[in-house]
Amino acid sequence: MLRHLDLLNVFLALRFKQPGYPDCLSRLGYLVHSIGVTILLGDGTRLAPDVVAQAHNLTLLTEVKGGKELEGDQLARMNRVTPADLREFAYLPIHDVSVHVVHVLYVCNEESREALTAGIGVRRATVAGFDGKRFRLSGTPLPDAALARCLEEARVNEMASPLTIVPFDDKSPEEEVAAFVVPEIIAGLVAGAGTFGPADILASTHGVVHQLTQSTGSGSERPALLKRVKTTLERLATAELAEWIERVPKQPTYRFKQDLALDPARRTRDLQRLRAATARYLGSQQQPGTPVQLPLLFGAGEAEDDPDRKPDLE
Amino acid sequence: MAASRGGWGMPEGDEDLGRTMVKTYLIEAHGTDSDDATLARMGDLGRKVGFDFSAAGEPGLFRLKKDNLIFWCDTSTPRFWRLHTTAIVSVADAAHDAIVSSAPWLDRVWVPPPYLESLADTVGGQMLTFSLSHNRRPLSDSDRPVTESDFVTLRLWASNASQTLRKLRKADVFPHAVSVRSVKFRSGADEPDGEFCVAEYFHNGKITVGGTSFDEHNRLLVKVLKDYGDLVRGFEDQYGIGVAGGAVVGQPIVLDLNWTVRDLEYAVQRIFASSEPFRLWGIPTRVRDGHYRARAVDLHVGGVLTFDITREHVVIQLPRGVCGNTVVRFLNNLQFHVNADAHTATA
Repeated sequence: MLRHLDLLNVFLALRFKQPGYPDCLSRLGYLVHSIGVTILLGDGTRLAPDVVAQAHNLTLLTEVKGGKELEGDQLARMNRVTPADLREFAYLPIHDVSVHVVHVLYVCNEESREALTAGIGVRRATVAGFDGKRFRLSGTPLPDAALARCLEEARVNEMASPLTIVPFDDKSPEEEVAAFVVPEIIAGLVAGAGTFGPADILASTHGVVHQLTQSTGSGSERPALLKRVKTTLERLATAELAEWIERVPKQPTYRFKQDLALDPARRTRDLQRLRAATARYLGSQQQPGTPVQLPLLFGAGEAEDDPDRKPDLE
Repeated sequence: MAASRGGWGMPEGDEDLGRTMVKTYLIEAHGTDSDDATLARMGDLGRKVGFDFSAAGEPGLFRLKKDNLIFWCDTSTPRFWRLHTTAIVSVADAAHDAIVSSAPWLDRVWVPPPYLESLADTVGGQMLTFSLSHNRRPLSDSDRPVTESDFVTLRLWASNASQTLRKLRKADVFPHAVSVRSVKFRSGADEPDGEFCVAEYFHNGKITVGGTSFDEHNRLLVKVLKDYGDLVRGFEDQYGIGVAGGAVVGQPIVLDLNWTVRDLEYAVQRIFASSEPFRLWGIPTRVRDGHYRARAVDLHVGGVLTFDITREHVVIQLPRGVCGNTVVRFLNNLQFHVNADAHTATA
C-alpha cells in the first residue's frame, strides 16, 4: 500500500517524461495549476483538492486517497464547483465557461478502489486505482476518453520511481524530512548565507508547491509542513549539527556558527564531516520497517579524498 | 601517422612552457547579467583573491593585477567571462584555480567533449592535435582487476587529426573511453603571414592560443560561449522544474549511459562524497536494488538537485532557478569517468 505522499507523486509524475514511467498528463497537454492549494468559493465553501490539472475544456479536481474512506462532504463540495467558480476564485484560465467541464478524480491504491467506488455511489467521480504497475479506473467515466485510455494502457517499469515533486508531508518519518532539509542547510553554508529560517528551507524543498501557493492562494498543508521543518531544525541544531548551526535567540531563524574552511583540502574534510554527521542523524531516526533505506556512506575513518588512491588526471 | 607540430612562429619548446602563448580561461559567472552586477561581483572577487582590479578602458573589460601577474577579464558576454593572460601556464593555472574556487557564483565553462570534437569543423578550422583522457578509477573499487579501458591518456599529432579520431572511435580500440580532453586547431587564413590563430581548447574551459590574430581568437571564443550559453540556458529554461504562468513547468533531465563500473553502489557513494571530480555533497539512499537517489548540493554554486541513478539512466530534477552549469559539469564528469558515450536523452 502506497502512502498519500507516494500516490500524490505518482499522479504528478504523469505530468513529466521519465524513463519507465507513463506521461499521460504531459502527452495530452494537461497543465498542473495547483498542488494542495485551498480554494475559497464565493459562498464560503472551502475545498483543497490535492492537484488541479487542466487541459482543453476539462479541469480535473484530483484527490489522492491513501485509505479507503471518503472524507465527509468533500465529494459533494467538489461536485458543486462550476467552471465560473474556478475562473473567479481559483484564477484558472478558463475562457468559455459554457463548454468547460469540471470533474472529480480520486487516485488511490488499487486495494481501495472498489471501496471508494462504492462510497461514491451514483455521484460524479472517477476512481483510479494504482497497484504499483498500472492504473485501473472505475466509477463515472473520465470525460477525456484519451486520458482514460492512456491511464488504462500505461505500465510502470518496476525499476522506475516517480519524481519527488512533493518530497515529504506532515506524516513523513523524521529521516525523510531531514534528508531534504539538511541539503538546504549545506547549500546555505556553501553559498555563504548568514541566517536562514524554516520558511526558507520549505520554499526550497517544496519549491513547486510553494510557488503555486504564492500565485493562487493559501496552501492548506503549509503550516503543518512548516512545523515539521522547525522541529527538524531544532533537533539538528541541538544534536548532530550543533557544531555548525544555532538558533538565533528569540528569533525563528538559525545562523551558521562557522564557515567552511577556505583551504580546499580542509573544506573537503569539513563537508565530509557534515556528511558523516547527517548520516548519523538519519540513521538514528530510522524506524524499523520504514521504506527509506539507510544512507550509503563510507565507513568511519576511511579517507574519501585520498589523491594517491584515486588519481584525477585533471 | 605523421607528427605535425604547429609552425606559427614559436620556437620549439617555448610552446610547451607556455611562455609565448596567450591563455584564456572561460568562466561562468552566475548572476552577472547586468553591468552593475558585474561590477559588484568583480569588486567582491578582487577582495577575495587579493587582486587589484580596475577598468581597462573598454566597456566590460577589467584588469586584475597581483604582483607581476596580470589578467584581462572581458565580461562583455553576459554571464560568461573571458580571462586572458600571458603568464606562464603553471602560474596562470594556479591563479585561475584560486579565482574560480573563491566564490560559489563562479564556475568553469565545461566544454562538452562531443562539442570539442566537432569544434574545428564547426568553425571551418583544421584539427592538428587531440588528446583523450578517460579515468574510471575514481569511481571504481581499486581492489578489482582493471580492464583495457579503465584509464586512457593519449595525445596525438596527425596530418588529419579529425579523421584519425573518427577512425579510433570506430575501431572501438577503447570501448566507451574515447573522451576528448582537448583539441588543437588552426583557424583563419591559410597563408603563413595571414590572419590566423592556433588554439587548443580544453574541456575545462582553458584555451592556449598563438598566431597572428587575436580577433580571430576572440571570434571563436564568442561563438563557443554563445553555443555554451544556449546549452546551459536550454537546461534551465526548458527543463528547470518550477512554476511559470501559474502552472508547473519543466521536465526531468534524462542522461542515458551504461555504467562501465562494476559496483554501481560504490560509484554512487563516490559521486556524492564532496570531493573531486564531481564536487557534489549528498547522502544517497538505495531505493531498491540498482536504483539510488540523492538530494545533492552542487559545491560550486550551492544549488540543490535530486539525482535518480539506475544502471541505464541518471534522472536529474533541476529546480527552476538552479544553475544549469551543474548539469553540464555532471555529464562531462560521467563522460570522463564512466562512459565517454553518455549523453542527454532529453536535450
